[in-house]
Amino acid sequence: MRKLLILLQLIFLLSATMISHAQQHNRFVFTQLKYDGNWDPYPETWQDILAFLATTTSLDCEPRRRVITAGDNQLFSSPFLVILGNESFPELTSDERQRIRRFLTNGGMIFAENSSGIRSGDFDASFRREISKIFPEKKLSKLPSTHPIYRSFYLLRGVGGRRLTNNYIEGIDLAGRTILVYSQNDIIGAWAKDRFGNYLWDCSPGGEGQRFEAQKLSQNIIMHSVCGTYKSDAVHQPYIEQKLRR
Amino acid sequence: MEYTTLQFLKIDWLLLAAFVIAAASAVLLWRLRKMPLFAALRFPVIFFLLVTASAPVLVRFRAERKPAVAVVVDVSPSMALTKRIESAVAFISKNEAALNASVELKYYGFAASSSEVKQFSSLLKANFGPATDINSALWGVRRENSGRLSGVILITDGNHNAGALKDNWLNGLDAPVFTVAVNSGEMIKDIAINSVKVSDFAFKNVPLDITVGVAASGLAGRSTSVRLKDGTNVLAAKPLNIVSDNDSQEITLRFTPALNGNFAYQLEAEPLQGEITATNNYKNLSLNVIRDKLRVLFLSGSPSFEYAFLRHMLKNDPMVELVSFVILRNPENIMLVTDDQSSLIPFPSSELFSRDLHSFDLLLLDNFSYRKLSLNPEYFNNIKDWVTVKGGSLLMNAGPNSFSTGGWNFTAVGDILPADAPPAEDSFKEGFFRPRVVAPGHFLVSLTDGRKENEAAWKSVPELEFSQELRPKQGAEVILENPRDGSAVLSVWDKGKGRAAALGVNTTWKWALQSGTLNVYNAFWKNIIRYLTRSGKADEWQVYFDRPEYFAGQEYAVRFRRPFESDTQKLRLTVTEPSGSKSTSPLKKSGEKEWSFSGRFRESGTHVFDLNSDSAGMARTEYRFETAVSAATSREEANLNNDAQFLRDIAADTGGLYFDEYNFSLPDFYDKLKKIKQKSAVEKSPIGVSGWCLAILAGLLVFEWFLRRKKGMW
Repeated sequence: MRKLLILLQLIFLLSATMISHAQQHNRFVFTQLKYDGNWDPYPETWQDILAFLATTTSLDCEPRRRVITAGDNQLFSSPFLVILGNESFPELTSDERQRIRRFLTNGGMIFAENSSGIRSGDFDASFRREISKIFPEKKLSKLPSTHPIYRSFYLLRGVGGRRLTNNYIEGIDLAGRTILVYSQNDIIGAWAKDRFGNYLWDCSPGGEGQRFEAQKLSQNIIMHSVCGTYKSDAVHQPYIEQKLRR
Repeated sequence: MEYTTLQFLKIDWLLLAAFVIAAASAVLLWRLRKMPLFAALRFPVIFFLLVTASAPVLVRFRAERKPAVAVVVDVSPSMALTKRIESAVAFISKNEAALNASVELKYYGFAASSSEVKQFSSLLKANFGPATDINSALWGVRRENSGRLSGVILITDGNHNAGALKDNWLNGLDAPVFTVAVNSGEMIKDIAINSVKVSDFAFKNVPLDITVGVAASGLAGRSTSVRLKDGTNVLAAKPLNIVSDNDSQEITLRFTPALNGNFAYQLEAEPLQGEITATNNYKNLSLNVIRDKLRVLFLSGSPSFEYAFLRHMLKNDPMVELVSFVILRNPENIMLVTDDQSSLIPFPSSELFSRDLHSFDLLLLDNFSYRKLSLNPEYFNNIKDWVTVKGGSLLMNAGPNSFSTGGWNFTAVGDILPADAPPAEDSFKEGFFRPRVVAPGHFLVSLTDGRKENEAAWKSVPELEFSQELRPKQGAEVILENPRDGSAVLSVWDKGKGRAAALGVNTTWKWALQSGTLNVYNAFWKNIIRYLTRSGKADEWQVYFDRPEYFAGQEYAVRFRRPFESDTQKLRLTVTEPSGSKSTSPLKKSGEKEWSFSGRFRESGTHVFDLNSDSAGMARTEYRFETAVSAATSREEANLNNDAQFLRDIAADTGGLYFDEYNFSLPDFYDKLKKIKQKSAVEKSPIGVSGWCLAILAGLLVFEWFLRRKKGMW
């Protein structure tokens, strides 16, 4: 009986983490792609990320994570999609590639991350392969330090992450919009905590400062998805340049 | 005068030979002195034979006619006002006797029409209309005289105003024109606006230069001002200091149009005391003001997908210059870094809502909370004035900080919104729905070309989620509604000179993300923006008048054309005259997308045309434009000075001469007259073969035969 009750509670909690109906109004939804592989290396960090957003920004967030697959119609229910992994990213079907391409072309944005923190690891190679099939005409390229993503909320002079694998993040632009942001620094991993609330991983080599940079960068990425190139507008430049000079 | 002469036309050699034989026999007989009587008879026979042989003709001539010269006198109002007609009559009186000695004068008067007059003195009271048509006058005179004129004396001030003159308009006139400029009796005191140089169109919010040509006479040393007015409002003004009695200046006025559309303005040189007329102190100016770019101010109370999608669309619209602000942090949010580590900037409320607001065309309020920013309530009055007086456009969309839930319904901004929400928190409706089109044929719901295709597009748009229950206000037009509860999803109305819209959803981004293409989303928002700002296709009625300029009393015909399909079949035109009286008439459909109307301008001044239609039982103003009508006499009074150069040109082009009333030279005049070889009327009477000659000849021959028989010579 006791085991049954625990099972029921687990089922309830599990269902609470997912949105069975894609109702969200105009709120930001943390949507994550589920695939055949290790798609969810950090099952609970999204809560901390959303809590951080709610505390520090005016962004109205849906309090629950949405998990979808590439073949799911709910792929088009929210324009922001997170893809994480530290092992091989599976080969997508032609239909799935077309759907993801349409998602991105019609206004969606993907934040993808090689959670292994190892440059050119399994996830990196397989993910790049799939992206090159989705957008054969495009290539992942470094986002310059002047990219709006580095100033969408915080003014970032560099990147952070659990591992400083690269001192940059990459992306693909389409029609004046960055539709894909890709990191190998395990930015999301910098948020991971144990059940006591302690950070699971050290951030190397920069320590807690590097972790904070990762947290700010993840917030900037999300803010960029809901603000676009807002901070590139001319009205902001004098202020930003003045602050950067300090 | 007539005279007669005898001419011998030919010599018949046979008859001449007969004469020689007869003459020789007469001489022989006379020498023989035998038959002097016979010899005596021979002489008359010889005589008549001679006459017959030479074919004599009695010719009666008429004297040659004098060259015909038409004296064509301008009796238009400009000549009358400046008393130049009196001067013209005096000129004719002075020169008539000398002219009549050598030429045949015919008198004509002209203004808008022309006619021959018997007495030139009758020109003083002639009335041939309110315009000056030199072209028709000259060609009418030529036609009446079948091209037999040796010259034309044209007495006019040269201010032709009855239509443009083609190049080489005098070709084929076939008579030299002697132009005579007569002066007015005394120095004319007058200021006239005689030219306006301005671009064909102006850009909204971009300064425009208007160069006004002013001619002043008889007012040396006096000052006035030249102004650009919109009704009673002075938009620009500059002083005019008159230097000499024949002064001509160009004054450049600069003003910045604040609204786009077709407008009628007035240019004015403030009349001075003693001017002969004030009509020519005014000139109407029609201006088409268009946008260089639409300036959109997009304010969002929080970042969101709706903001991101709309911002991206606006940023990529080449017709839009976007300025946007998003409130990224509320007062209750915690800031974990120092100011120099965040990209946040202060929200410039004072600059936006006071100083810079007028420079925008459209204000989008996206879930924007004034409470959290503690905005000065005076800003709301600024926004209201900017919409109602300056013609700005406002749109508010749904959100927790919008409409009543945002406290807007108790502000001046709420007053100008076409819909409001119940004050309760439960004004938000959950659930998915596809909006229902309430105003088919309205530009705002035109997602694609073709009525059927458009209906299909609306039936297949992705469902929206959540709406704020909005109730349209009296006079608002509902375009889209939520079929689940009938609440207005999109409502619009004209508010003063501007427009406002209320959108009860904030998930239109789904139309972009979930459709096959971005077309539906882009079309929907582009329509809203262009409709609210009265620009682009939304306002793209094309208006064609049958004349470039109108005067009071003239009839007009106007056509309206719209390039896109519409359900609108019945259109009405309401014309508001300067006096304020209105008349509404149905338009006649003259083509698939064209309507026409004709009427008469009874008054001078600015006339406002409103093109109205009925859609879904509601009257709607489709298009509004203005046109200026000048006073009937303004054509004539526009320029009261002699156009000496024009008169010189007429003379030069026709081989004539230009004179003024003091230096008219008869010898030069005669010298230049066209010499027409006139065929005299000749009457010929042949004598040689006339019956009398032949009878006399026969009688003489018979008498001689009788004598010979009596004498026994036969």
